[in-house]
Order: sequence, then structure tokens, then C-alpha cells
Amino acid sequence: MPAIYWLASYPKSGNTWLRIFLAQLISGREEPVAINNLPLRIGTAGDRKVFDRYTGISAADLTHAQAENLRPALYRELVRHAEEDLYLKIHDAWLPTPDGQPHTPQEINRGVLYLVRNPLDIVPSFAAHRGIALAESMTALCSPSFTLYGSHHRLHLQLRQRLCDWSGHVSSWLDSGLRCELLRYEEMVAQPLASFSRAVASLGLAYSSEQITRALELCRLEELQRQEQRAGFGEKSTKHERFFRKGQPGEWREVLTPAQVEQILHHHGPTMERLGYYNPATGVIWP
Amino acid sequence: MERACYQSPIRAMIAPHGIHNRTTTPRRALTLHHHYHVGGLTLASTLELPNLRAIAPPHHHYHVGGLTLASTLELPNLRAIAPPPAADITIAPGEVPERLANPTASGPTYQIEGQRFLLNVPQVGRYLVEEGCRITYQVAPATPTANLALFLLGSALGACLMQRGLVPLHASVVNLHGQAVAFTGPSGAGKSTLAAWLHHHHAAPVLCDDVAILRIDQQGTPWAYPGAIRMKLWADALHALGLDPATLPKAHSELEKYHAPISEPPLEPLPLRRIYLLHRSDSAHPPGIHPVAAQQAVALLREQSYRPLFLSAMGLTKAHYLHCVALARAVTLHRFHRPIDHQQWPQGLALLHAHLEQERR
Repeated sequence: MPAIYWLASYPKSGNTWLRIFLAQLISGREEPVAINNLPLRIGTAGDRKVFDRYTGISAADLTHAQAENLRPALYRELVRHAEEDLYLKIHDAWLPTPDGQPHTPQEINRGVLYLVRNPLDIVPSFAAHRGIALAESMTALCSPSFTLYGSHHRLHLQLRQRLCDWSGHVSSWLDSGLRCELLRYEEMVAQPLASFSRAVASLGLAYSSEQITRALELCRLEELQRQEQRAGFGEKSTKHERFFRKGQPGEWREVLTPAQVEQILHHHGPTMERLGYYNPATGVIWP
Repeated sequence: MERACYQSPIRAMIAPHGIHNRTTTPRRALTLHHHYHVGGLTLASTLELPNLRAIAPPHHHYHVGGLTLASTLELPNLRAIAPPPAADITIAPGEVPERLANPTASGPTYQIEGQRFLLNVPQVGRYLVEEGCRITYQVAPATPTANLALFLLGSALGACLMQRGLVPLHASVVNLHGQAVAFTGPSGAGKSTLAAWLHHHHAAPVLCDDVAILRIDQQGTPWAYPGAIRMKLWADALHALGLDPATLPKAHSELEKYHAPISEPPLEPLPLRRIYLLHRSDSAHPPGIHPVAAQQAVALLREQSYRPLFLSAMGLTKAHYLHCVALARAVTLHRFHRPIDHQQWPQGLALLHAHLEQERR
């Protein structure tokens, strides 16, 4: 009986790269997969079209809370229609729904791959993606009530997703009791074969080193940038020039002021320490 | 292959819907029936449905001396009955079970068992749709009528039409130069806002919004039938259209969605010759209109059905397939990528007008 592997992360933590890699790997093809046409099997948990199709009603006729209450039933329905395990990207923090259900039903969780990135690097990346100032991006990462797609006066293509602040997001998943495999974005960049191999194994897939290496080749950053330049990328917001930017770990050192760094450490120091990004004894931050 | 529905007048008199539900529904509401026209069908409803086109003033119905009376005046001395079956579909409050006994199909909000369809929207209400001619609803306490009506005229009515052998298209349809043009696509694609724009700025009457009822005649011509007379639009879209949401009734008690009136279309259907599949343009798909290859047309049309997952449980898969084959033969199908940003709407519309002009020649 199929189930769901959750590709969970706070935004701008490498989730899209992982999905494209997975699509490439599973396709087994020699050419790069079309980044704008990933298979539904590697989908997005908050996709409105999927909600409407499988629940039998329009999310647009519900409040955000009512739609969230139906998401566990939606996931069960997706599994019912599936022939194989599904890999769903999810940005929601792992919170009980407004009516008290676990967001992801126990019996359909196969596992969680939780991606993290140093929040100091998330700040500029998030700002660029949304076309907002660094200060506004900082506020989002430090705000326990921050949500994506939560408008009441227009329709987004995705459902509302409650993120909590960055630390809250991390602990909601890692302390949920679900079996979580942790994957650091910085390791994906520095040691791709080792980290992506570990990710593949944790998702219950069996592929050789050669296959993983080949898939990584076909979706390395330069290739993704080339595709985006030629044909665009559907997940890019209208607010900035490119989705696939440099993405180099440690970019924060050139971009954030000492005061901004201090603010992030103040809010998120303990979680950063937990994840190996910060050593309060020495003051060293990685990367 | 639309099925006519026989509803026994005796059954209507002896077991009027909701008549025993005295504790929750005022008596007046049980006898007063509003009459509407939608998609070539008549509806009689105790719930007022301002989104639909009313035909004839509301009447109370009574039974006296072996005769049925229809009266615009309330006559509490007489025995109230459900309306005699002049209506194709009757809508009334009543007891609705929480689940069906032996469903053959189900989803998060619905169950299907033969000609019975149960819709259960948590915190809103339940709807039982039977035999393509009867919709019974039971609301959760304190549910605003507007919210109840959204699902009644959405999935519940959709299921009712399917029980009659009709498969609605998930589309908004406008009258452009005397022909029906349908805009289809999933929620968020912009069907309603595009139709509203064409209505308000180009005087194109809107035939229907969101649920489009089509019938294909013996000659293979698809006809689009008029539906609702108000459109549901979000506040942002209304502002962009130059309309003030503050002047409009709300479509939902908590969401910034409103009912915008559109001019009442004539009752007659219009021939449908053109269907545009709407997509939001993005950096991968710049604004443009592209024909759909013939070999893809049927599959794409099947995907545009309203609530496609209801179809197989209702035994409509084959009929729907044949319907889409006939539709593909009769209409031209294009993908229309248009900018969702309000500032760029005129650009998208210019593309559409140019395309329509070019096709006319």
C-alpha cells in the first residue's frame, strides 16, 4: 500500500533542487528533465488544483482554516489513488490542524526528509525571491505567525501554509515524533554525492552511485540556470529576475550587517546550535 | 443522453421535504418556493438563490380538496405541500444522513451510492442529491446562507446534473459576437475574472460562470445554456475591474468574495464554437494563444469536466468520453497563456481580441 515521503523544509532551503534531482533520477533519462514539468508523483502538498480535484469541493469556497482541516483527508485520498509512494514537497510547519488533527495522518507517513539551511543565508535568498527588503525578510523568519499564501482578498495557486518562525518550523518537524532524515543544504552543495545518496536511501529508493552522479550532473546549477534562461521557470515569482541564483553557502557574510546577524542569532541561536550552524562558546558560525 | 426524471406527484404531496423539521426551520420557508432557470432546467427552491435567474415570483403551494394551489400569498390555514413537479429540480431543507449505507465511491467530502450523492462540508452543512431531481440540505448551526449556497450551486448542483446524464464543463462562458466562447481551467486560472472583464469593458454578456452546461444536438452542434446571473469575484479582481466591493453582497461570510451582477442573458442557448484553456503566463510560458493538437483535444477536454472524479462512480465515463469526442469535433481548442497581474490584463485581452478577429476571417 503506497504512502507519502514528505520533502519538508522552510522555503529557500534546497527543496526545489531536491525535487528536480529526484525527478531526474526516477526518469532514468539521459537528457535533463523539463524543470517546468515535474511529474505529479513528486508534487506539492499545498497545490490548490490537487485539493480541488481530490476533495470534491473548491478550496476557494472555504476559509483557510476549513481548507487546512481537510488536508489530512486529502493526503489519505492521494494515497488511495496512488500506485507507488508519493514524494510531496511541504513548506507547512508540522502543526495540528485548527480542528486538532495531525497535519499528516500517521498511517500514510512513510518518512520525512527535512532540509535545512543556515537562516543567515535564507534571509537574502528569501528577500530576493519575494522582491522584498532584507529587513522584511528578517521579520518573516522571526515571526511565529508568518504564513505563505494567506490572503483573504485574492486567490493564490497554493493554499495557505503556516510556517511559524524559522526555529519553530525546525522544531515542529524534528520534534514531531516522525522519523526525520536531516539534510543540510550546505552539504548538498559541498558533498553532493554523499548527501544526495543518503537522501535517496532515506526515501526508500535504490539507485547506484553512477545513476546518482549522472542525475546530479544533469541538474547541476549551471544546467538549471541554462534551462531557466532558455524557457523560464514556472516556480519563479514575478518579483525577481531568476530563480536559480548563485546559492553559495556563506553569502550572508557579504550581505548582512552585524546588527542583522545579531538579530538572527538572538532569535534562532539555540536552533542553529542544534543543527551545527553556530557554536555559542566560540562564536563561530558555519558556513 | 440526458435523462428525464419522473417525480410522482403523490410522493411530493405525502412526504414534502422538511415539513417535519419544524423546530429548526420557520414554517413560511417550507412552503415558499422560489423558481429559477439554470442550464435549460427549472429549479424550485425554498432557499433563495439570488445568483440564479428567477422565473415567476415565489409561490406557496397548498393542498385542498384533492387539488393543488399555488399562491403568492401565504395561506397558513391550508395544508402546505412541496411544489407539484413542474420543476426539474427541487431544493429544500431536511434531514440528511451523515453518511450513506453502502457507498460505491467516496472522497474527503462526498459519497456516491447509485443515484444518491451525499456532500458533507465540515462546519457548513450536508447535501443529499437524489435521482437528478432533488437536493435536500441540512445546515450546521449558524451557517450563513451565503456559504451554504456556494456548495449548493457548486458540487451539489454539479452532482445533480450528472445524475441527469449531463456533465458540466468547469468553465465560464461569454457571448462574443453571437457565439458562445468558453474559458476553462482550474481554480485560480482566471476564468471568472476574464469573463467579468469582457462583460464590464467589452459589453459581452456572460452566459454562465464556473459551471457550464452544454448539450450537443443531433447535428453535432454544442449549445451553451445560460446559468447564473451573478458572478463570484474576489475583492482584488473587483478593484482591478473598477468595481467597488463595498456595494456588493458577500459571497462568503468571512472571505473577501462578492457577488457581482451581470446582465441577464436570454433564456436561449448559444452555439459553442471556441474553447480556451486558461493558464497563467510565467517566465516559462509567455503570454500567447496556441492551438491544441487534434490528438490531444479529447484528453484535454475530459480533464476540463467539472468534478471529474465524480464521473466514474456515476457510470458516466463512457458517455462523457463520447461527449468530449463530439465536442472536440465541433469546437476549436486553444491554450491561452495570460498575465495574472492586473496591470497587464489589457495585454492579454489584446491577444484574445486579435485571435478572435483572425479566426473570424
